[in-house]
Amino acid sequence: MHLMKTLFILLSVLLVNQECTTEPNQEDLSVVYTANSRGSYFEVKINHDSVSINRQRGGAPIIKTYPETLRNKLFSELNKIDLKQLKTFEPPSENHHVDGALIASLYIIKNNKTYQSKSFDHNNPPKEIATIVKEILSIVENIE
Amino acid sequence: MKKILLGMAAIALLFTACDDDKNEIIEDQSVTVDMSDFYVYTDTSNDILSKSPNSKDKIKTCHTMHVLNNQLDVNPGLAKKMYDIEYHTRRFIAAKGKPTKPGNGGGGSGGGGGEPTPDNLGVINIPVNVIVVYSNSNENISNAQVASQIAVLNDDFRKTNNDVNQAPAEFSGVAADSEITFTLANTYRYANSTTSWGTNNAVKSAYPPVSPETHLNIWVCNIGGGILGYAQFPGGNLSTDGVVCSPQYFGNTGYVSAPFDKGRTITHEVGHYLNLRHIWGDGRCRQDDFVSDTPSSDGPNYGCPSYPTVNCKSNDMSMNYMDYVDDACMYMFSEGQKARMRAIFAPGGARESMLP
Repeated sequence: MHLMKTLFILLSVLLVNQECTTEPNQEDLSVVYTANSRGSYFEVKINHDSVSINRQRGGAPIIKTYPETLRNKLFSELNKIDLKQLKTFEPPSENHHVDGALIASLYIIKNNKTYQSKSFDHNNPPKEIATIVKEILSIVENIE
Repeated sequence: MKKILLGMAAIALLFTACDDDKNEIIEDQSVTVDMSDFYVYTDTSNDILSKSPNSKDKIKTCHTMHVLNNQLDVNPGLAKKMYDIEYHTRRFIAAKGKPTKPGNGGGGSGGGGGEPTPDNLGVINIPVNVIVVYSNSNENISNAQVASQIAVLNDDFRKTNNDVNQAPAEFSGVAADSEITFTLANTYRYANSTTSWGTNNAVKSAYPPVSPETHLNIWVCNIGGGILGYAQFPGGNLSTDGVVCSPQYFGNTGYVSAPFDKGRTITHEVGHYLNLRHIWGDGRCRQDDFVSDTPSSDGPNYGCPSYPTVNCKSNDMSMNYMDYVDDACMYMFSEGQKARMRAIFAPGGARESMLP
């Protein structure tokens, strides 16, 4: 009986501590980058299959496919990030506090859960996500 | 043995329940919130336990078991909700007591919001130098356009703007006459082939501010990159002190462009120049603008939002000059902002030297 009790407690702890999420496949992962100010709007959404770019607040986005090489680069970077840490990465500059830069944010959506960065200056992201932002912007450049 | 099997079933239940929690709010770990004492059902209260379908389980308490108990409730959704509400409540309280990091140039004396104006400063007048740098004749804006901007500043900072009466009852009580006026001292004009000056202060290097220790300098030149205007907080370098604005968003007559054609870009930038933060605090809900009478928000509003616009569980003061709405939809500073602005002119304040 004691053995069973011990086993029970052990199992409980093991099971409860498990992450509720399952291992994601690529379709469960997408990324959104926004860079806004009073006078301008830019939103890009990228999932496994397509890129959506919107440069007008309330406007209709253009949606296109994009090259696999760029996708692989971006998704390999996305998979490196510790998503729970995303919101802790410190922006290296704060010019957007006085309107001297567009306010940028990075969102990573995995298994319907959205992880959001702190706001940072467009063109100067936190170093931990600099490569991701660069890959996103090169995809945009490639599309446009 | 039966007891144990029941327990196993319970854990299996908990495990399946996780599937429903995909949209749960991501817990903020930057504020320490101690939830270890939280529970919905106690294991010790026989009164409640007797109503629980699992009352036969006399599992002794540990934190995991509390959670397990919650999940075993006949209404697991409610238990989860209660947990979230409690978590948010505690997070909010913890965040409030946390000192917030000042940004670059936050060198003002930092008058706390909500305080009564701690001064005998009376109406403060600020002399203004306007430096027009143009690459074409449109950008060489007229004296009338310059005058219109000075008039807008005076209206907005004295609460004589004719749209302040639109303020909803919730906020009209804190709409403030900041008791700050502006007088045009000089207008300087320079032709330059540069068509976009950017936001790196290049225009200030090319045309240095005139008497920045006593005068507000405003550069009017095309900025580009989707930026209407930009500022510098008090306490920054004197050689770059002042605000910059593209000509289309300066003043309310002449070469102006809707929906930023009512001179409010400069009202907003001068707010920064006088130590005001964006009304959403440049962060999520718990990041404050250091002003107590402006409700917490988690981001800018754009366009012309309808009232009420709810963020962070309160109505946004979207009509505040320090939000990002269109010119026609912003029309007030708050009393807390007034106190914060005036504090920098008080003895020891970053702009004390501007007073005669």
